[in-house]
Amino acid sequence: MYKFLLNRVKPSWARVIMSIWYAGLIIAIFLLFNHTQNGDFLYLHL
Amino acid sequence: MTIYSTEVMLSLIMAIVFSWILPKRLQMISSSIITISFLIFFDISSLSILLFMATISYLIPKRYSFSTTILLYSILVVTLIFLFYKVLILVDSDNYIMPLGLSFYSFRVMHYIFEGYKEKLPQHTFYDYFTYLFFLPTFIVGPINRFLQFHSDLNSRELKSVDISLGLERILYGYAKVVILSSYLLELKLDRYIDSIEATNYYLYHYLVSIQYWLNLYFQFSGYSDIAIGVASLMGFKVMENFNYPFFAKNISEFWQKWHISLSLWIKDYVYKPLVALTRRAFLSVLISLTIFGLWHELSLNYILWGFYHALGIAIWHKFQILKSKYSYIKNITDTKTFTLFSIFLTFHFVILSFEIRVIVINLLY
Repeated sequence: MYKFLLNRVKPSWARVIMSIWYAGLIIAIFLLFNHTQNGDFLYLHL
Repeated sequence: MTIYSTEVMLSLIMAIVFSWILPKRLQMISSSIITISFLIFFDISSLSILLFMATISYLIPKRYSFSTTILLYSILVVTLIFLFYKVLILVDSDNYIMPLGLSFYSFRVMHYIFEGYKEKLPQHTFYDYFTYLFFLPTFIVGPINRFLQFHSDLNSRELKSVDISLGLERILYGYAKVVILSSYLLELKLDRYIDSIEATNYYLYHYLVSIQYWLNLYFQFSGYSDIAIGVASLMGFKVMENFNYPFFAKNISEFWQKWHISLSLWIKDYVYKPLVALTRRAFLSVLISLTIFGLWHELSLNYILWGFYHALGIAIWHKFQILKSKYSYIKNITDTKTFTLFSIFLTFHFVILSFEIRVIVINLLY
C-alpha cells in the first residue's frame, strides 16, 4: 500500500496516510475483538 | 488487567504525548512517573524494592569505583533480591506476588553493573539511569533493552514521520497477534475444538494442547514486544527485537537466536561467554546458561529439566555438525530443500514437546 501511495503523493503524505490507516486498524481491532477480554499481560511479567 | 483496558491505553498515549510536548527536562521523567503510578496502584512494596535496587546499583560503583569485589557484591545483592521473591512465591504463591517487572528490571540492573565494570558506560546522570529503568514501554514484559542504546536515543531522539508510521505499524501487528491470533483464534476458537476431542483422541488432544500453548505464548509475548517496540518508536527510541520467526528455525541453536532474543543475548553476554572463558567447556556452559534461562522463568525442577533438555538438544546438534563436516554425503543430504523443511519440522516439535517430555520425566522420577 505504501508503494502504491508513493506513486501518487509525496513520501511525507504517504507516511501520514499510512499512519492514519494503521491507527484506524488498531481502533477497529479494539472495537471488534474487545469482547474476548483474554489479553491479560501481567502474568507475563514473571 | 488486559492490554486493551482503558488504563493501559491511556497510559501509553499519555507517555507518548508527554514525551514530546513537555519541557525537555520533564519529557522522559513523565514516562517514569506513569510507570511508578502503575506500581503504586498494583503493589507499592514493589516500588521500594525497585528504587532500592536502582539507587545501590548507581551509587555504590560511583562511590567506591568499580573493582571486581564491588562488581560481585552488587550482582550478589541484586541476585539475592531476585531469588528472595522467586523462593517466596515458590513457598507461598497465594499470599505473595512478584514485584511488578522485577525479572526484567533486575536483569537490566545487572547489565548496567556489568557494563559499568567493563567501563563501557557513557557519561550519564542518575536521571538517565532512572528513566532507563522505569521506561514504560519495556518495563513490564521487556524486551530487556540495553542502556547504551537508550542513552544514545535519549540525547538524540527527534520526532520523525518515518518513526511514527513504523511505530504504529508495529503496534498494529502487536495488537493483531495478541487480540486476534492469540485471544480470539487460539484461546477461544481452537480451545473449543481441542476440548471436544479430549475424550475420543487422547494423543491428538495432548499434541494439539502443546501446539496451542506454544503458539499462544509466542503470539502473546511477541505481540507485547511489538507493542513495546512500536510505542518506544513513537517516543523516539529504538528497542531491540525480541523475536525473529523462531518456529522457522532450522535447528535448536538457531531457535535460541530467534526466541526471546533480548534475554538470550543477555545470557550469552553475561553467563555463557564468561563461563566458556573460565571453564573452556562449551557443553557445561550451555547447560548452565539454559538452566539459568529456565530458572529465570520459575524456580523449580520442571525448569531445570527443561534447561537440561534444551542443552542436550544443542549438544546433539553440535555433534551432528562435526559429523557433517567429516562426511560429505551427510552434507549432500542436509543441503537439500526437503531436509531443510524436515529440520524446521523437527525443531518445532523438539520445542513444543519440551513441556510434555518434562512432565513424563518428572512422572518417572516420582
